Amino acid sequence: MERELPDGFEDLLPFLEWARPSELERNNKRWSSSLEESQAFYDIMLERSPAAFEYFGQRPLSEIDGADRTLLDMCLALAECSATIEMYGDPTPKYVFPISRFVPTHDAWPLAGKGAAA
Amino acid sequence: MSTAPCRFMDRYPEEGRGPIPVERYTSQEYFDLERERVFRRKWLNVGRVEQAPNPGDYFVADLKILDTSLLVIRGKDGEYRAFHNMCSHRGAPVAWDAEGSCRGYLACRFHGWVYDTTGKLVQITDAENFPGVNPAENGLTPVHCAIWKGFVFVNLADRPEQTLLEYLGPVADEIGRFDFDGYTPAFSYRIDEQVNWKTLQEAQLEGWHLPYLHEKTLARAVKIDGNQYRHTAIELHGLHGVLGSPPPDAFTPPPTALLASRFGTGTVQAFGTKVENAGEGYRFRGSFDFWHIFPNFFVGLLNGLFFTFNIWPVAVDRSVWEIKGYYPPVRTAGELFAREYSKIGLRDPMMEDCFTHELICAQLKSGAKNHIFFQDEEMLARHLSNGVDRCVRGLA
Repeated sequence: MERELPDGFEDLLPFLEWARPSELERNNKRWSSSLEESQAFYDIMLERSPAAFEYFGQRPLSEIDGADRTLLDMCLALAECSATIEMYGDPTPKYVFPISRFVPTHDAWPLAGKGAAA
Repeated sequence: MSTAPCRFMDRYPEEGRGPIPVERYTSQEYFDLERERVFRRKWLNVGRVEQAPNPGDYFVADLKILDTSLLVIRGKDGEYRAFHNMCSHRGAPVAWDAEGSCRGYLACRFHGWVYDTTGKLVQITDAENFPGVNPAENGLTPVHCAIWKGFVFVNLADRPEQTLLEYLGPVADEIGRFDFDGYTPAFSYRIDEQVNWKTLQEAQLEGWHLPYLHEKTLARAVKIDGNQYRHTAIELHGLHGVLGSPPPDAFTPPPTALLASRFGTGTVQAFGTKVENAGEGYRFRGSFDFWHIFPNFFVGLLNGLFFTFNIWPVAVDRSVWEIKGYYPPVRTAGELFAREYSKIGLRDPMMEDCFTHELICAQLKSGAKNHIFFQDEEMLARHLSNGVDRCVRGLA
């Protein structure tokens, strides 16, 4: 079986659900998770992301794919999840316009997930 | 120490202090006048040159309020030109995609009439069956187009009353000192809302609401002076203006911000940090500066990024908000994470702003109130309303 995360990051396997390739999907995951689930993901990613960024190092984004891309998408999900934990203290805060109408059109850019403009 | 009241009203007495009629937001007649006396006369930003970087590249801009869509194309000669995106044959669009590239010629997909990048009609298909149709008289219909610092502007008037540079006035020199080179498109949002276009802009024209509406997000990144937010500056420049936002006395970044800051600057940090002005570069009024270019364009300048808003009226109670962010190119995973964190720090407060828009718009229609109010810190919102009203009344 093909591995789902790079060697050394097996402890993140229970959180694979957070690895989503677009902002819309990461935001949906953030809004559909409980506070407890969000806290657990936040805690482990805050602890493990530095190792992930060390693992990626100076490697160009264009060369990050497969299991590595999954790990990167989990790091990007931390950016979403941090708003739940650090800002709102709530995964579904009231009085926020829904992302289904606040459309991240950059998700359709061919290399958006890898940081390129188009 | 708290700031003296009414400092901007004292500086700009011509803006008045009175209430603002609700009619400006709800009246179809007023909206029809805005269309003719603002949008059909003033220079309008429709994008940046990066959307069509090479000769033959083009993009399409929808201007629903003027019942048209525009083709902005970079010619083989390197010049940017704008045309109504409409074939002279029967009115079909010439460009069918939001952006694209051609090798010097665009052919209408309907029946194949061909235009070059200067809008000239170079081929009428089945020409012998079109007796009396003169190609020289039937090119694409041009629209005035001008570039400033990479920003593409159009003017729908037959003869613009001012050049773009005259229109921008001192704003051109002020913003022009910001170094726009080296930034690439990083994010883009589009929100189609049931709201008047001025209501949509007003939350972006004052920072006073930050500690209230953005209590959970941006409030921590601004200075509170005597329990209130006080702009570091509000300046009016003709129909345009700028506000500067005050950094807090102390800012403790949360853990994720600290992590992101190893690789790049997060937005909350950018908001929360005092910028040192040096040399000939752009002179920041606050930790971030927000320029409003009349009637519907914003350029937000921060340390290490900039973003733009285009607010397009569709109807008196419907508008499209286009948000675009520009960052230095990211190369590594860490840099991408820093940019993602920064982007979300900007996006979430804007989603909070958005939540108010449709509710306000719907309630203004009730007729329960004839006026709304702008305080001194809301001078830039008053300035927009006044500027539009001066145009509507034929005074600007």
